[in-house]
Amino acid sequence: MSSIDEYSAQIGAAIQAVEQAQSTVGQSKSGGEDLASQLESMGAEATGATIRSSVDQGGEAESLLVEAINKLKEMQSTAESARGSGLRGGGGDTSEAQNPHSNGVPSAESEPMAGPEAVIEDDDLRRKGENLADFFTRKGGDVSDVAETVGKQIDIAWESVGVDPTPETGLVSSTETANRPTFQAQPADQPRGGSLLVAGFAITAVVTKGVRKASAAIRNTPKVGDK
Amino acid sequence: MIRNDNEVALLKATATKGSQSPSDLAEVVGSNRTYTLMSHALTVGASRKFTGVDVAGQVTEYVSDLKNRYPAVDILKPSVAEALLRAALGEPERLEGINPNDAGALLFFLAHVLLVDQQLDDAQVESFVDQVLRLASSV
Repeated sequence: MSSIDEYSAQIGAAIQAVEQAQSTVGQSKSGGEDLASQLESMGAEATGATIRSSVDQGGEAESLLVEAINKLKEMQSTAESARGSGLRGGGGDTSEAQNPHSNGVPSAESEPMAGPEAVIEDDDLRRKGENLADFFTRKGGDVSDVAETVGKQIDIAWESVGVDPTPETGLVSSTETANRPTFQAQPADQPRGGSLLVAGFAITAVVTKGVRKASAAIRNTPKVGDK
Repeated sequence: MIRNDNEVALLKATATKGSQSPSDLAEVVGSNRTYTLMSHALTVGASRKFTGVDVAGQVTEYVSDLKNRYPAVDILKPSVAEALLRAALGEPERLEGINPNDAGALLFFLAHVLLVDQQLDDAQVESFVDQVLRLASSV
């Protein structure tokens, strides 16, 4: 079931609950009016008036419930129309008309959204992300190990981002790369053999770092003839 | 939603300026899952960056700008970069004829540079990580 289906079902349940409350209030109101009339005809005007006042409050509650139902139905309609139009797969034109939410993604400054807009945009983004991931994981068919095939390229490209290249060479100095924030691999809860696997990765990471440091040291060592 | 520490670290490195290469993390997380996370990261980054009517023009201009900013990054092939970005924006057919192995490292680079350019603070990085993990979770 998609997020929109779930969302729509939740709204449907809320509408049912409110309609039930509306029915109960309606019955109480009708019964209260009858009772007030009877009491007034029997001469108990004060008591009748008190009951009529309660009935009027019930009327206000009924109006609020009707308003709530209308709002919920409006939200349900928005979700349904989004499923029918904006979430068709494939992609194609990215113009505003076909991609109305391309610029509606919560910006870095905005608060996370809740409600139908968030659901719609999440579904739209998820579909786009999955299509792209499919290219690497399924449609490509033979994508091999990420670290083995592109690990070195990633290392090189990553080094270029985040620090300003020197104007002359376009390269990043080794001193600038020495204090980069690191996000280390954490040992995961593994079944048998998992700890050995994690230890292997940790050793690999340490060795890789050692090699990097050594390379940096070599680059920084003055060569014979340097002034 | 359960957060895997290594996946969180991979995504934080992607969104953090000057972070070390996450290729070790990618190895721990696993190829398929890494590509899935990075694809969603690129989609989120691209959707935030490219808005309005002339998305294609903006993508072309951005890739050209990247080429000038990072002349030493030889994996940055403009045609492949544009195809990846436009696929992330909802045009997967742009990737026809491109070898996934050729585009793999570029996926990482583009996601990283797009997010770094957005200069997210710590809270915004957390929000980005949550969003990507939510998008990459099975429905």
